[in-house]
Amino acid sequence: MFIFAVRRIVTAIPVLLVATFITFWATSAVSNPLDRLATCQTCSQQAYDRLIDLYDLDQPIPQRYVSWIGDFVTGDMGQATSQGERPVSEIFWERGLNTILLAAPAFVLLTIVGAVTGVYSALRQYKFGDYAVTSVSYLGLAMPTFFFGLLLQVVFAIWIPQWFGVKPFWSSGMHLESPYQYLRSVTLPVLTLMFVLLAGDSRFIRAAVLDIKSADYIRTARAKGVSNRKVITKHLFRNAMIPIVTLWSLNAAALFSGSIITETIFSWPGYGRLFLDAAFQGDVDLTMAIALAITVLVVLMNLLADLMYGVLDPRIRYD
Amino acid sequence: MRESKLLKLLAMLFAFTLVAAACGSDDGDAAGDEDTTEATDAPAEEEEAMEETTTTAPPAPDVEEGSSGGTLIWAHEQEPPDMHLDDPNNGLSITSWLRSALIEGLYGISGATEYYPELLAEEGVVTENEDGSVSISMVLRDGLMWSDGTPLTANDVSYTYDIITEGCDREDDGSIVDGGSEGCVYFTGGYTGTELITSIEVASDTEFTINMASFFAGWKALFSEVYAAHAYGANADEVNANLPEWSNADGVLPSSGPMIFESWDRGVQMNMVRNDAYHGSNSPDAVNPGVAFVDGVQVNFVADTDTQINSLKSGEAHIIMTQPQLAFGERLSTDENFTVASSAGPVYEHWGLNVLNVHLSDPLVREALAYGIDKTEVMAGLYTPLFGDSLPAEGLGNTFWMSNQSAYVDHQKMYEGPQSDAAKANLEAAGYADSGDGIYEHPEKGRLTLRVGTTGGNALRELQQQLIQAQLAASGFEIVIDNVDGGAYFGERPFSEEALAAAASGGAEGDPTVWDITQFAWVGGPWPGGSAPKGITGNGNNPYGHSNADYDVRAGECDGIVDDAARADCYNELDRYTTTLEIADTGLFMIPLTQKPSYYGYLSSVLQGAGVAPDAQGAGPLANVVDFQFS
Amino acid sequence: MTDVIENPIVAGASPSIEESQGLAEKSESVGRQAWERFRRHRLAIIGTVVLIVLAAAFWIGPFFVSYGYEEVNIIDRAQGPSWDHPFGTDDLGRDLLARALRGGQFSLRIAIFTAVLATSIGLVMGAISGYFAGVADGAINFVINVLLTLPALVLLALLGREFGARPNTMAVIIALISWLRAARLVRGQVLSLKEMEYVQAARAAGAGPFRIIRTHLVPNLVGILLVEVTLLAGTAIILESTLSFLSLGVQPPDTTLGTLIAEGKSTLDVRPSRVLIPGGLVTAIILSINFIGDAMRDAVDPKSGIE
Repeated sequence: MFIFAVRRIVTAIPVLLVATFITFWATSAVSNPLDRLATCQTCSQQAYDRLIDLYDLDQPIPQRYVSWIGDFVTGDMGQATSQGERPVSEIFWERGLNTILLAAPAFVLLTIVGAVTGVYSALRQYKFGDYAVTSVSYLGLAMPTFFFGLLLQVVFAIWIPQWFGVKPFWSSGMHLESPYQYLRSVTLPVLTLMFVLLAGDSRFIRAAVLDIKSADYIRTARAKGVSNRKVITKHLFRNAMIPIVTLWSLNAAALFSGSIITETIFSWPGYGRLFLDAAFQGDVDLTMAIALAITVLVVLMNLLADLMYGVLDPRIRYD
Repeated sequence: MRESKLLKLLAMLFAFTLVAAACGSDDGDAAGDEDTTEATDAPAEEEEAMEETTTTAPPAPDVEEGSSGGTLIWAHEQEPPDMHLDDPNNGLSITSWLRSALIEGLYGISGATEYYPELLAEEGVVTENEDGSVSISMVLRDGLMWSDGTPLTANDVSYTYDIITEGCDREDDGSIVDGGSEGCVYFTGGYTGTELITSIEVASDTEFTINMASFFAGWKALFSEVYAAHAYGANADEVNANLPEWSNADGVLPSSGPMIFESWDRGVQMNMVRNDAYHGSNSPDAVNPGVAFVDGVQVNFVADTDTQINSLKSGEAHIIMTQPQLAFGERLSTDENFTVASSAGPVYEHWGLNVLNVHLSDPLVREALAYGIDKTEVMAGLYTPLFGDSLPAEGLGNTFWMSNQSAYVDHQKMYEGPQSDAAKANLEAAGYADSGDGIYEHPEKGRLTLRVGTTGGNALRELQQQLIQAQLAASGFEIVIDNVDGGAYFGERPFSEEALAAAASGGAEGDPTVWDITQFAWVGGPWPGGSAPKGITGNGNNPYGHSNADYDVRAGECDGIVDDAARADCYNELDRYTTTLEIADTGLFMIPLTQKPSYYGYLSSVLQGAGVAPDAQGAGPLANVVDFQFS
Repeated sequence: MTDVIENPIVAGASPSIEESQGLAEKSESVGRQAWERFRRHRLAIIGTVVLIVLAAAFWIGPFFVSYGYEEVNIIDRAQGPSWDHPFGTDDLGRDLLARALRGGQFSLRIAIFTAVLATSIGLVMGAISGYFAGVADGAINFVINVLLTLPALVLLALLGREFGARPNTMAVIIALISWLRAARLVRGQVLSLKEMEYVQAARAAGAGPFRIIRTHLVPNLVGILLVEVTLLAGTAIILESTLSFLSLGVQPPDTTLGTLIAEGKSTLDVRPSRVLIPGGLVTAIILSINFIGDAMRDAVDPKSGIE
């Protein structure tokens, strides 16, 4: 298994190269920093020269990519041109931490609520509880994120003032002095993230449990007199876990790479909004740092999921 | 039997979730503390005090009526990349707005989009010399002071000129070569006008004379900010290094405005505190003659417009200034707790026509388009509900002078109101006929389909586009909407290389079919001369393909006319080339629609006075920050 | 798991015998049986009726509405529901009933087209990748991994700009970025199923790979795929509204339900009907599709649903 993991990581390198190149190319090709001078009526040549110099616009994109890789490998993440030329490394960790502060509780809550509702729904198949859970989780699916976020703001910050606030870390910044402050800041965005992703978790877990529940060996186990609870915990769960582990790895990758809409609506200074802004401004160094982080995260999550398959089902071999 | 167990399980899991969330908070706390070391050193009591004001919707009642105190909270969508406005990488209005509270210049811009002497005691006196050069003598106000206690003198003006031009390459006659050397302070605006300055003679601490090689109409804009000689940097490189973070080796840069920069928590907020050494505002709009009432200003960066409105409604912000949008009016105007204020800014929306387009190359078709657009309906439907009568009901009819400026003339009066009959008559005269479905077509040029594009994402502008689309359908035009999100629109459509090459060459080179009609806003100002390049043949600001030798000559002359009235007429003449067919049939390549008003909402239950100003460069929400006062 | 291994004959071998025996008569009666099972689900019937009614309203309704979806009437702008305008009017005074019907047409089309297309791509890719180890798996995995790691928004923006925004192209664009999850799920499942004894037995008996995929793997994947289709149909509607949000949606004056929600979000607290009506329609569509999906799952997979 260890050799498998190492091999997977090594084979991930081409994925990283191709994915980063596509992002690099897209960012550079779509966002031309000179655009911002397009409607400037009196701009000097110096202004153009400065931008060309700052963004290396005089070099072809592949060459820029190669020099970016070269710098990156030697530990130089570059300068965030869209952030006053601050070092990317500084911004990267600062904002990354903020994203984790939001993504971690969201992932935990989503996983637990998704599992509970999914299993409950499967066990109560076609009964009232199932329909109730299904309807509520589909409501989350049917609502665009921005709508649900704004709705929470209107209800919990305007109609019921003083509870959570629209931008709760308002005056204290993202310093989060107390657990109470943190909980207050994070509740509405976490609920938003959870609610819009819940349908996926809940429905998949329900489907997986139903599949396994009806499988022959469960019937066999039951026939052999194994207790109902043991059936659920021992057989049902382990087998249901396979697609679910995939789902969780995708959820984790999605959440920890920053959520653009939720972060925008709640002014959360994480990766999501920063990434979009950087990409739209052609700030490749910052864009690429975040893109690479996302790529690595997804690769690791996939690897983790594959390793989990093996743990759950010993017959899956890694050769 | 399963049900009860499951319910218990559920309850336990939810309990666990809460515990997990609480545990998570500890991690966050520890990590968050590390975060603070990077941010600046705001004293702890101060932060607590701010918290007080924000978490309780009506702020601390211990403030006596009409007295000073409190922190003004402004929620805004855009965060500047840095504070160096003249860095081409920045150049954003928000930076200019923030700086307007920090430093003042020789002239400021009033709510009526006119210049007023800001640091000057009175208007500068222009003297024409016999050799064609001019001298402008000026006197600074008495007792001007930087926030660190250093007097602000004529030497600072002279320093500002030197530092901007120092290190730049020069021609033999002293003018600055475009694209000067590395040592220049970055200067987005170019050196137009600055390069005409031959010297600045300092006579005393308050008296000085600016000598220019020839008259330049935009001279009042040249020193919209005066830098501090003792603090901003000894050379251009130092200035370029100090301005972005608004600090030098000794700390924060000193202010000449009502506020002093304090701290900036990137991605979250910026804080300013009151400048107690402030010499008072000279603005004709300002009511308060002394230092600001409020203790400080906190700018919170809130990316989403709806969230901004929400934060105003929840009492977390005191003032917001958004892109104009109808929801703003619907949600705030009806609520007595909020005051909605607007003013006609110097930014104007227009439809620009690509005269190289097969249809639009015919002046009759361009005129038909002007007839077909009903600006009155656009105003009545989309602007009056929000802005009342701050904008003319018939829309804007000039691209050089704005409706609130004294030299304004509506040159498109003849196209006013719905005139689809006139539009169709024009089309028929041009050889078009109804193709059967109400859209006209030409035997050779084909169906009268035109694409109109803009930078997507601005709700009011997109509605305006759709309204005009419907209006023109009644006049035989099929308008297809072709928007590109954000700033990329310009580089992909009207200002793309192929389009500009086509415009410059009259269609001989490049590709004239990249766009047909563009809808966006040009930034005007008190000096209309900056608007002239849009019609000059081959100019980078002229994607329209307009080419008229007479216009080019006239555009070169206007800025040199010393007499104010004659100069104003000259700009109006340029506009008639632009918006009418009266002077030449190359004309009518722009249809101005309306000024883009600046739009504020503030908590009237909290603020007693609020000094809002237009969103001109150098103005913005903080231009009259001295007048904000909590009730 | 240990139990399964202890009883290989019970768990693995018997189904394959059953299948080969039942093959001939199955093809005749499976459809009928499935229909019977489907019919038993009351909610699925309700869902089907709701979908048919909505589809009929979206396509036939406009003939009975006295306003066109593109008809601007600035005097009547931003009105609440009234007798004349049952759903109210938008910021340009266009009738929101007419616009909701027009939007429903596009949303429904985009939802179904996208979901089916994306799931099909995902099934093919995932099945090939899971079943054939080696080069095919490597290549498909590579593409999936690259696509998964790419920021979807940049991709969407690029493709949208490149290919314009007509409903069908939008559906394809959305499908092209949403087949990944289906593929990974299928692959994971196939990896596991492949090791099942009855599949190994079939392989040992000389069955070709496509036959095995078709007869043994696909039927076992149907449950997961149907859920994926129903989920994707919902996601597609929402994604489409995000695209509209980025001005990459259908070009005005056309509209979709997602666009209508996005337009109404700003006046959430003063005029909730602007969001609730299109939002309600989207929810109704998604719930109906889901109920139908559940019933179909039971119908084609006789083993599930027994209590």
